[in-house]
Amino acid sequence: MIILKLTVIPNSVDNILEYKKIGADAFIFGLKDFCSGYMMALDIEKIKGIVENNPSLEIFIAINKNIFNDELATLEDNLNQLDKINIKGVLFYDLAVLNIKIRNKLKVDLVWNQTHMVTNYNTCNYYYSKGVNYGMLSGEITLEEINEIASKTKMQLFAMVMGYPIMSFSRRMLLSNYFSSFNKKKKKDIYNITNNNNSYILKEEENGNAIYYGKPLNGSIVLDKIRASYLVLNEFNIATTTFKEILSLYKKILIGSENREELIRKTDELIGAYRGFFFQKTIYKVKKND
Amino acid sequence: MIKKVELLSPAGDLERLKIALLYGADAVYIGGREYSLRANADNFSLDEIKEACTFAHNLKKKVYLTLNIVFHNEDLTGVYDFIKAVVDAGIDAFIVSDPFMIKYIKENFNVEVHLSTQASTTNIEAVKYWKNEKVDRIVLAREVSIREIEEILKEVDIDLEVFIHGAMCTFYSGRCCLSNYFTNRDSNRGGCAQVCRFAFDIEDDSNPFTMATKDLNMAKYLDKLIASSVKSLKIEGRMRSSYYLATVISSYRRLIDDYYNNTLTLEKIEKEEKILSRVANRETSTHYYMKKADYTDQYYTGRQELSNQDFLGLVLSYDKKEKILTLTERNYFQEGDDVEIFTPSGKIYSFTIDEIYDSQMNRIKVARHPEEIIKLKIDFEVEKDSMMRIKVI
Repeated sequence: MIILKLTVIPNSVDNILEYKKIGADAFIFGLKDFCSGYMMALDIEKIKGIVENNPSLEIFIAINKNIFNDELATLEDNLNQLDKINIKGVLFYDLAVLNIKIRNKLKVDLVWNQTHMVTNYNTCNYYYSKGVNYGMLSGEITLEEINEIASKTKMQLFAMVMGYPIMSFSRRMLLSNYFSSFNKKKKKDIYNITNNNNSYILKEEENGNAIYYGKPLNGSIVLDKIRASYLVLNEFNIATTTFKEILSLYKKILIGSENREELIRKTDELIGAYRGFFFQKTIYKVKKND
Repeated sequence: MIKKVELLSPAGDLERLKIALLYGADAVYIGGREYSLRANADNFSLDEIKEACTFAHNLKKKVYLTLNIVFHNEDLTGVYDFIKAVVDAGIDAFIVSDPFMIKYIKENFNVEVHLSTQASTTNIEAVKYWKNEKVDRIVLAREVSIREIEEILKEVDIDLEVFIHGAMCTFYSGRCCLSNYFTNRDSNRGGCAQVCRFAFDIEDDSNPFTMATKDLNMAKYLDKLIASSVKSLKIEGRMRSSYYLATVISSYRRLIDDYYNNTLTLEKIEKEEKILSRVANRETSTHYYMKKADYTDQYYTGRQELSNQDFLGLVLSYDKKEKILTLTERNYFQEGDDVEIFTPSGKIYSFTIDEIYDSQMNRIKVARHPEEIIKLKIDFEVEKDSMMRIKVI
C-alpha cells in the first residue's frame, strides 16, 4: 500500500513548521548554486541547521541544474557533505550526480528528476537498478500513465499536484539579454509575458531562465486516485495565506474527508481548476507503422 | 594515415540522403517513421532505410538512425521489433537519449549507440557515466565551449560529436516542453512547434519580447574544433532542402579537407562563409563555443527569416556531343545572368548564361517556371546532381 505524503517546495524556510502542522509530510529545498527553478536555495550549513533542529522532517535537496566542468569539484564536495546529513534524498537532473554517488559509494538516496523525461516505467526501472530509489514524474503525462508506471516499478514516485508547472529552462539569460538589446536594465527577476491572451512567467536566475505556465496546476481532483508516494505542492508565485489554505484542503481530501467535492470546489476557487495533463494526452506523437 | 574528422549530415528523405553523401558527408543521420524527434519530416520507411544503408555502404559511408524520443509507456510496444528490423536493414548506429533503450540495444545487438544531444551532456562526470554504460559516442549539449570539450577529452577517451551548423534551441535540449503547454504537441516526441520563435508582450515594456536564437555557424573556428579531437562534426536540419544540404556539406567538406591538407587560409574560410551565408535564412553566431551566449546571439526585433532564391536548377544530364546541359528549374533566371554550377565532387564553375532552351529545344530568353525542364548551351561537362546557383561574389 502506498502511503501518500504531501511534499512542499516552500518559498522560504520561515513557514516550514507551520506547513508541517497543517499537513506537509516532506519538504524539498534547492541547493545554493546547483538548483534551477527554485525560489529558495540553501547552502549546506543552512541545510545542516534545519535537519539538526527538525529531525522529524523528511527533507529532500534539489540539485537539478545542468552542471559544467568548473562546477564539478564543488558539486562533489557538496554531495559528500550531504551524504553525512540525515536528509531523505537528493533530486538530480545531471548524470554527474549519479556518477559521483556511484564512484564515492555515497549512501544518500537519489531522486531521478529529469523534469520532462520521467515518462515510462522501463526507464524508472533502469535507474532503480542503478540505486536510484525515487523518481519525480514528468508533469506532461496523464494520470493513467502515472498509475501504469507506479504499477510496474519499485521506484517510489513523486508527482506534482499543485503549483505553476515549469515548461522550459535555458542557460541563456533571456530577460537580461532582452533588456540589454534595448540598452535597458531589467528591474526584477520575474516578469509576466503574454501571447494570444495567455500569460506565462519568466524567472531569471544566475544559471539561466525558467519559464512557467501562467496557471497553477490544481490536482485536488486526483489526490484519491494517484499512485505516487510523494505529492508535490510548489509555493512558487502563490501567496502564503492561499498556500496554507490549499495545503489544508489537500490534507483533508487526502485523509478522506466526507465533503470531498466541496473541498475540491474550494481549491478551484482559490487557484483555479487547471488540471494540467492528468486527463489530457499530448498529441503529435510518433507516427505508427506503415 | 590521419583519420579525418567525420562530417555528419541530416537527411529528411532518400533523395536528400543521396545528395548529402554525394556532396561529401561521411555519414548521415535519418529518422524512421517512428521514435524520431522530427515527426514532421518525411522520414524513412524500412525499405527506404535498407536502400539508404546500401547506398551509403557502397560509398563506404554510414547511416545513423535517430531513436531519440522521450518514451512514454505506450511507445514501448513495438519498439523492440522496430530496433531489430532496422539493425537487420544495416544501420551503423542508433542515436538515443533514453538509458533503458541504450542498455537494451547494447545487450542485444552488435551496433553502435550514440547518446543524443537530447540528454544535454555538459561535463566530464556525465561523460564518464555514459562511457560506463557502453555508449560509443556522445553528442554533446549545444551549451558547451571548445575549452570544455578539450577538458572532457583530456579526462575521458570517448568519441564526441558536436553541432557545427544550423538552427539552435533556445532551451536545453530535453528541457523544453513549451509545445506541450502551448499547442498540446509533445516536443520530446517529435512535435516541437518552435514556440521559442513566437513574439510575446512583456510587462513594463512596449517592445515585443522574443527569445529566438540566431543559427550556428562554426566555419571560422572549424580548425579549433578539429584540433580539440572531436570525432564528428554535425550539421543540423532534417527538414532542410537538398540545395541547402549540398551547399553546406560541400563548403564544410572543402574546409575540412583544406585543414588536413594544410591549405586552409583565411581567404578560403571567408569564401566559404560567403557561400554559406547565401543559403542561410537567419543570421548566425558561434553561441557557446567561444564565450557564454549573450544578447548578440538572439533576435529581439524585426523579421528573423530571410527568403532565398539562389538555387536556380538541379542538373539532370550533360550531352557531351551537343554540349547541352539539362536541368530542372528551381528559380527564375534569364540570359545574361552570372551563375555558377557546383558539383558533388567539389568543383565550382562560374559562367554567364548565353543560350536558354525549353525541353523541346525552342530558344527562350527567360526560365520562369519552377520544375520546368530547361536546357543550356555550355562548353564544359558537369556531373549529374550538380546544382546551379546565382554566382557568389
